Amino acid sequence: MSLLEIKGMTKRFGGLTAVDQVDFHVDEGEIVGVIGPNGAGKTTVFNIVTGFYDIDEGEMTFDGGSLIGLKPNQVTKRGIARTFQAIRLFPAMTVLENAMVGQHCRTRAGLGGAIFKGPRTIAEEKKIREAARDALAFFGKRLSPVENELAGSLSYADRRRLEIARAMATEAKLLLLDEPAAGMNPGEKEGLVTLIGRLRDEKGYAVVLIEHDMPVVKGVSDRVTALDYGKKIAEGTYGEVAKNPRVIEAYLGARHEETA
Amino acid sequence: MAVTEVKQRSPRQLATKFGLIAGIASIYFPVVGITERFNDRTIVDGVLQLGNAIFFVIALAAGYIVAKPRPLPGEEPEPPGPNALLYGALASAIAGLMTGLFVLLADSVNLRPVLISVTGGLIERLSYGGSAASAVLIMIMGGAALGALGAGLQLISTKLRRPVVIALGTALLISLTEPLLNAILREVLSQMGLKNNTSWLYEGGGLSVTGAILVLILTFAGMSWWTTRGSGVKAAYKQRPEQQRKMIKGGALLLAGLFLVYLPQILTSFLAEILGTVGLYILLGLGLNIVVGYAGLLDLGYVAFLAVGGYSTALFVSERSSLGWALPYWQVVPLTIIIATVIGVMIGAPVLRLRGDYLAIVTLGFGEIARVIVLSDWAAPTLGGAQGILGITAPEVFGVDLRDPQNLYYAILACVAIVAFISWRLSRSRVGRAWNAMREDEQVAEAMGVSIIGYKLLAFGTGAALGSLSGMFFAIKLGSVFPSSFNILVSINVLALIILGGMGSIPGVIVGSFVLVGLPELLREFGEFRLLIFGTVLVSLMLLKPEGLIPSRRRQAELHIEEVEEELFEKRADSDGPEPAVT
Repeated sequence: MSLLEIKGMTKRFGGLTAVDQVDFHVDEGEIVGVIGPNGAGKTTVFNIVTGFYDIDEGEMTFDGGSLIGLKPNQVTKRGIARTFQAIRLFPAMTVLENAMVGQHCRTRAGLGGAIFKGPRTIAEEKKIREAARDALAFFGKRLSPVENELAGSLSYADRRRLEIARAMATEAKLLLLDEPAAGMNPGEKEGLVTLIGRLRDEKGYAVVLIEHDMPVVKGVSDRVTALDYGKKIAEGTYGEVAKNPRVIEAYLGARHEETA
Repeated sequence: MAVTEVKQRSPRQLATKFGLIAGIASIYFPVVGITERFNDRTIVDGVLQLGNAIFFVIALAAGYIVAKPRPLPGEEPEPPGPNALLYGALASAIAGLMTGLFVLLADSVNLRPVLISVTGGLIERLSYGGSAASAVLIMIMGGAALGALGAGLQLISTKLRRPVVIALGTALLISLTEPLLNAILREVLSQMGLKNNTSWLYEGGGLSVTGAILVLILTFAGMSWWTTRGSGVKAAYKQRPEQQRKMIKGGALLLAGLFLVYLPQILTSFLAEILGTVGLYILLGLGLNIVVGYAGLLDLGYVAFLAVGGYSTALFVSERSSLGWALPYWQVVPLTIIIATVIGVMIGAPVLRLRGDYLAIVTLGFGEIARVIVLSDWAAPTLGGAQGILGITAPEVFGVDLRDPQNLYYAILACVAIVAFISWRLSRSRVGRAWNAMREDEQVAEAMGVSIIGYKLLAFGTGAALGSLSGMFFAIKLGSVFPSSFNILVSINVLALIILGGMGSIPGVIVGSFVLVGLPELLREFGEFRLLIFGTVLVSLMLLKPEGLIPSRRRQAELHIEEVEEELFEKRADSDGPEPAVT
């Protein structure tokens, strides 16, 4: 059974069907690339899975349990963590604190714990710190040395990295990365490909990434799904999808206007 | 850097501009009556009166500002040359000319029907004993001299300038707070068994000549030591191991605590009273700081919780309340806190989906509703309506009656210490981090597993509980509660003191309370100009330090993020070349 299983996902915004009968699945330890032109509904799929939008029709199960009706924080607790297309860190918190927030759903200390700071809270705080540092350490010398800097002062690529680190700190099984390569230079993109590979090989994450940059998609994806106008138009290995006439048509926009 | 043509005024234009502004200012003060009102206030006995000092300060400042180097962006500031003296003099001479002409005008035409403050006495004072015609000359020459002096401050090195400016400012401040400080000083001296003769410092309602010299020399010496050695001391402190730094910090806190405990012994009862009020506002500020500063929920109806605290205390304690239970305080305190928390959550629940301005408007409404309910016929039988509830007996703690302002001060101090400690612990906890994340970006916080609903309600509830404590002391302090005490101005004041002190910062709340609540009380001797001065101080503070007096690191970062990014940009431009790839 797949880790994430989506059947017939449909989402309408007024008259517009943003996601139309999409079937989608991710197996454990698999990297799936999602491609498609702007407005194809890729990010909408992420938003539905993570609980930001309600699903109109269809089934979603993760790790054997249904995701329907869960709030974003509950989805995160189940083990799905995401990053955002436009980087959304907590800019006025430190790098380490950003990652520590990721641990929120795995810990329990409340008001009383905060005020009295008993042994349980201290131990938990230590665990949070360690888990956050672990996540930062995954990025080598990029984030760990600046853990006490404010996240808003990081370079662009480091902000992207911190977003991934923060998602890792939630102890998720599945990471949803929304255009992680956007705004990176060729060298950094190459690094990203290696990094996503390491996420699977070293840490055992399953990864879904939305990406426009084809070399990156080609470099990391075990499987690629193409969306257009909310519909799934192709699925398979990168080679298969890239040759698919409907995908080529969607990207080049050929004949769409004529047939419509 | 993309610099679209920077408009560079010639020094002469600048001098004229600031001269005109200074001129308008130095006419404004006498015209509205400030000069006359302040004239009996001494700055330095027998040398300087506050009324005259206003023109001196304006003329000095005009020269100082005109001579300030104005480098183009990216340029090193050039040290001002001797020409700056000339332009400084020009600016203040213009101001002097304007004032002089005004005196001439006022002397020949009777302006009193329009400007009631322009009396014969004022004109005489402004002409410094001579005729009105000679006043023009005196004003121009005096202005020019002062302007040149002010400009001269820019010529000397920074190391010298700062101590001079600060010494002058300190002297002015110490002189202006004479009524307060002199009383305290006398008390301290007599308690130490010395003669309470303070004429070495104060005389005739201001600094004595010796006092002025003493203050100037001491501040100057202290400040020049700090400007040359201060960075070294700071660096040495930073190099100390963590353990020692903690001890130094703890020691400083302990000293401050001892000072606060000792304070009522040397204060007049009027000041002790003010201190109690400041304490109440600190409590309120710390509570609201959790809601606004930590969790980012702009609450404009915080006074509601002051009212809840006050009224529930009154209801349970007073024999003359509708309940008439007269419960002991050890039952009243937890009851009040529970009631406030429940009401806080109840108010929080309907506004969970609102953000920013919308939340502010709705909470503003709740604040008013609280007052209106108390006043309403429906609640009047229980809460006493406009007559309020009287007869709130003060608690006795270990045989100490808290009605006495001094004892109440200690109770409030202890409570402030506890609440400050709670806030501090919260800010560095999992809960505090979740609140901060929520404040920074609600959606992302939710995506990271923070339950937005839960943490918003927690923030409202905690804030309400802490605010109700303040209400309880308020009721004890006055012995009665009335709906009119709980108006919207309280909410605004509490929010203002948080912003003034620095959002999210505990020391900021404390300092903000002293400035916002204490300062207007100390300014009482200035009568009708009290709020004018107070407003000026507030506006200038917010212009100079928009992040607040003692900002938390986050807040500072938010307001200066551009600078950080600029710096970063330059840093990267320096190291050039693409970043190496991640491995």
